[in-house]
Amino acid sequence: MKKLFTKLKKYLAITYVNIKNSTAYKSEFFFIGVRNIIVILIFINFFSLTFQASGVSQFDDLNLEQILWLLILIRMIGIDWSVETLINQEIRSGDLAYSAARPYSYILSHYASFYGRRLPQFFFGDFFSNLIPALLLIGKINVSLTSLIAFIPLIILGVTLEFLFQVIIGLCTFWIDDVTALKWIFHKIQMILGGTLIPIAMFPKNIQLITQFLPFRSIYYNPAKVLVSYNFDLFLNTLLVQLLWLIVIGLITFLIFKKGMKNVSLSGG
Amino acid sequence: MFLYQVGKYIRLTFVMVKINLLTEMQYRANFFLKIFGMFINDSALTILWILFFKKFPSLNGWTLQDTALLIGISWSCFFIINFFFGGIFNLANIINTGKLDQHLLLPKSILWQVATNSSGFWEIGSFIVCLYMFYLSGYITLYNLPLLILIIILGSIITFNFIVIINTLAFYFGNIEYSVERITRILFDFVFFPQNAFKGVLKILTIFVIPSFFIASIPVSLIKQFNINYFLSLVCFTILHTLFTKYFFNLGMKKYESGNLINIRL
Repeated sequence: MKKLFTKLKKYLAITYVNIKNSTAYKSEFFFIGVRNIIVILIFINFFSLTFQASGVSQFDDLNLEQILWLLILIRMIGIDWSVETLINQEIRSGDLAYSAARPYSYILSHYASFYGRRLPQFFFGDFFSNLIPALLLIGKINVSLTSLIAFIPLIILGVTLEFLFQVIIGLCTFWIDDVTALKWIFHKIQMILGGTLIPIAMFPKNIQLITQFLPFRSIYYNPAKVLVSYNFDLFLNTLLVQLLWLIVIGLITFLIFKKGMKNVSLSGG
Repeated sequence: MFLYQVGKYIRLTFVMVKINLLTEMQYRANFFLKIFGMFINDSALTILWILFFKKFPSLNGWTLQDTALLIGISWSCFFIINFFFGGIFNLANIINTGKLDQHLLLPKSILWQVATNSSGFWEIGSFIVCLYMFYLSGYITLYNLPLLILIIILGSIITFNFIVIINTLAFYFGNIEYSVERITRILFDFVFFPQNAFKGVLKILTIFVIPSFFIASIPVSLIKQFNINYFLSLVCFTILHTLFTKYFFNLGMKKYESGNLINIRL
């Protein structure tokens, strides 16, 4: 137990250092807030028009307010794409050789530092700047304790899944110098098949069916849907899909890292 | 004299693009991978709209054809800026790190020097998608092609001005590089959605703050149905916006603090 606590302490320290770094430039939080408010206004205008034009009151059991909250939740939690950029820089500059020699797991250290960067952005930037305008402009949403309890593990697993995708993209630097193109492609796949811009409920039925077997909608869309419109079957289904894909993607990450590390040569000095 | 100067700058811009291209071609595989990546990136976004409009053929009269035209025009503007003046996105960083010194002594416009310092060649992938979007829209004919080109040039000038204004804030606020990126993205957000969705506060924002009304809304209307008042308002706005940008940047320059860096620029 003591050994586990000592290990955990290392990663918590990495998280703390990154929290300090991320809060150095306060003006950033202001501009995050401004952009979020504008995007919420765009969403409200656009989806109101869509509902009005379609003449229906619900899509896949979600009404206008629930769809807006779902998208705002996705935006609130959605990760910036910094993990693959950092790994890319570390591999290109050779810093990976130093990080790999340290007494902690390279991937877990990135996982810890990712939370350190993301948590201040979330609490000081995205959370309130999305929540307050959303409450004022859309109105409050009914969230039960059950849906909140179900949401927490789902979103942690979803974020972890996205993190692993970003790590894989970053590790591709071992073979290709610049991974920007891969980052763009992944982000857009997630946008379509993960329903991060236009809800999957608004897509044709055959596309909705395809997305059920892929990992992208279980990253943010399904956890957010569980929160805004709780359904036990959806919770269980999402949990199983997440666990399955975590094993698959985790294994791929491990193999790529192992293969890539063979290309790294450590030298003293 | 003015036209002679403009001609000289255009010639020099092509020379700079050629130099940037030779630099980028050092890493040939990356060069083509990024163009391909951008092609997939933008194609995916258009697929998103195709799927959407398959389910909702018309949003109060706004159709897939309108969105195709909107995307074609606005992304063409972004293509021109990135391709010819890609360095302008680094202006805030250059100001903040005091690297503007190396541009001050040269006999050419500072903004032009910074802007042509690098090129975003990956936008070629985006431009290919733009061409398909124009085809998909069905609005472009040989008759309105000159108007389309003129509109894209005016839109590119407004986009360039907007990016300069946002980056110029670095003179006043210091380290705001990430914020600059976020504000610039707002413009991309605005030109991505059907323009008839914006009403009230958003409409005012698109006219007076984030000029997407002049980069997206008016150009789409002009191509669909030419209106001389709209056209003149677009020309007038471009001129006023350019003058304001020049004034705002020069005002900011008075606050510039040299980084005292000793650099050799090859």
